[in-house]
Amino acid sequence: MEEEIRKDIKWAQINRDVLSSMEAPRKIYWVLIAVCLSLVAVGVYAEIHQYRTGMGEAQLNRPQMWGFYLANFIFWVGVSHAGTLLSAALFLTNTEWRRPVYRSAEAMTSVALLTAAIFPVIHLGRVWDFYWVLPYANERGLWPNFRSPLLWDMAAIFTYLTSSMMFLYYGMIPDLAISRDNARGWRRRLYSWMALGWVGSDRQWRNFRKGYLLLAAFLLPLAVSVHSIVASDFAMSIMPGWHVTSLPPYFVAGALYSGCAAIITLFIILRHTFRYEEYLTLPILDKLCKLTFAIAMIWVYLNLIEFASAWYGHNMYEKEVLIEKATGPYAPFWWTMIILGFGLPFALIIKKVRRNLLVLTAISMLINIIMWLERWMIVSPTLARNHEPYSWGYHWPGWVELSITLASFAWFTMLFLLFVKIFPSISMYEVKEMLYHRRQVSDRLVREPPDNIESEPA
Amino acid sequence: MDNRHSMFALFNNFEEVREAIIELKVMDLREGGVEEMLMKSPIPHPELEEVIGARPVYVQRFTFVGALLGLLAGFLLTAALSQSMFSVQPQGGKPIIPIPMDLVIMYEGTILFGVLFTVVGFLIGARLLHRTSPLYSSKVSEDQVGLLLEVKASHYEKVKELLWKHKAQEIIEDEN
Repeated sequence: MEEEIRKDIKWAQINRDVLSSMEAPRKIYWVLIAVCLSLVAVGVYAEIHQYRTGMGEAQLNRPQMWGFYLANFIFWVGVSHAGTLLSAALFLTNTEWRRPVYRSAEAMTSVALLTAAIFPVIHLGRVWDFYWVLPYANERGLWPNFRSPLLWDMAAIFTYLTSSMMFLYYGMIPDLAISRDNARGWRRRLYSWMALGWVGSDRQWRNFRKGYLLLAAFLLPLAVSVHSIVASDFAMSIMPGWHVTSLPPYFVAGALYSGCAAIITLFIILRHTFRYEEYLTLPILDKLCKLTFAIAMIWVYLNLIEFASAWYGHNMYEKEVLIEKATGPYAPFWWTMIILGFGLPFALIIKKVRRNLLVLTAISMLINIIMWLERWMIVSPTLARNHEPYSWGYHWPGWVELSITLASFAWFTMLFLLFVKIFPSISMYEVKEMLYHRRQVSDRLVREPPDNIESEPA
Repeated sequence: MDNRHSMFALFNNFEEVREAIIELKVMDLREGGVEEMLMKSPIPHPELEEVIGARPVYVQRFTFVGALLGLLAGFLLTAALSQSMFSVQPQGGKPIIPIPMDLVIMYEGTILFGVLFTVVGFLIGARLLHRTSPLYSSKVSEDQVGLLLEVKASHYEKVKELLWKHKAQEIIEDEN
């Protein structure tokens, strides 16, 4: 079995491993980039077609005015959730195994938010008026409703994107200085500019530590607030199936679940394409899988709570929507989501599964497809069966929506791959710090063995 | 006034730096001619920072002020927008400034400004973007620990000797 990161690895070697991998990844990296570019091109074509033909191409009509685009929006905001939240939570709880993996998780957050941000604009139809999504003061005679949760949404997502990027960049400054000291050409110029003159002085480290702690303390409640606010877009309405008190925690748990699965997928891709086997080790993956399982169980519990509220709440509209999900035209998707979403995480309690990279890749990708289905199953069935029977109607996507959805996955993967090619995705200074402390502890144990260890009885 | 020199010594590990700092402290820094001492290291080392001595950190003050300003900005923004809307579209029975729904924006504002001010506080406190001493070695970002000293010319050789004694690998010199 592959062990933890070697304690005797030289610090200079860590720099070399990470920096050289960035410059020369395996060939599969370029294959992935090419596939992603092709899919993004298909998405752009679909968007141009929609722009020229009209929003009817996206099958958006009363009562299904949200369709895939809003499902995609909440899915990507959800994926963004886990990276920064887990990074901040594991930092505050002083979890050692966070160190090699947190940078890529944080990058995933920023990239997922940049993907999510595209969808309100696509959904707007008139993309040239994209700035109308910003509810700024009463200009143009629009008089937007400033009491709407959509204003909260904009504020929360803007705050989360800004803060996550700050958190990511802040934690990367010492590594940018390492990169600056070892790079040449355009990379050196870029890293010099971004490292802001970092030299690792004790004054800098003291301020850095304090600032990082404060940022992590801010990011934790912020991440929770973001997805509960996105949930409020639904829960604050009076639509059956949405107007539920448990919707915000349900959204947060679902977001963490899909985010953790995405971290596992990206962990495996990164480990292979950038030859990070030494740092992104199987024991870390093992812990990530256990965490995903625990979060999945919270999500399962909140699903059951939601069903119980609808069933025993004696609200006929709520009950109708639930029955419609289970027996109506959306039933195959809903049951797939329920059966696999509830069942798949149980595979993660098997140790052999947690150590098999191919199986884990398949499971983590499948979980994300299921969580995407879950988002769609939140949006469309409720709109299909609202309070007024005269406006019932189903939403089935056309090629335009499907292409744009697929392109969003490619766009996300491509941005992530570009990020890890340009910036160090493993925190070199934190790995060094972790190894230093481990060595200190083991040296101390050799020097002063604990006297409470009794010798084995004869 | 006594002329001052800067020197930057590189060590293989923290223990050697620690020994050197302790001996410099025993000499009494000011009496021994050391005006300024700064450690440059590849990782943070809080225990050794304590040996160097206290250096106040004010980041949290920036954070506090930022968070308060954010709270206030969130309130003013939502209150002003609600009021401007109300003056055009009067809505009977509803408050002009609805506090409960403004709380969400105030919460986000608190965090946004808190985060931004924390980063500004860090940039100022860590003296990033400042002109710093040119004495630096890329070995610090690899695996060596550097000690930057500003020394009176009269004590220069003595301090240098002390650093060699504690297994300094290299001493880079610069005259102010």
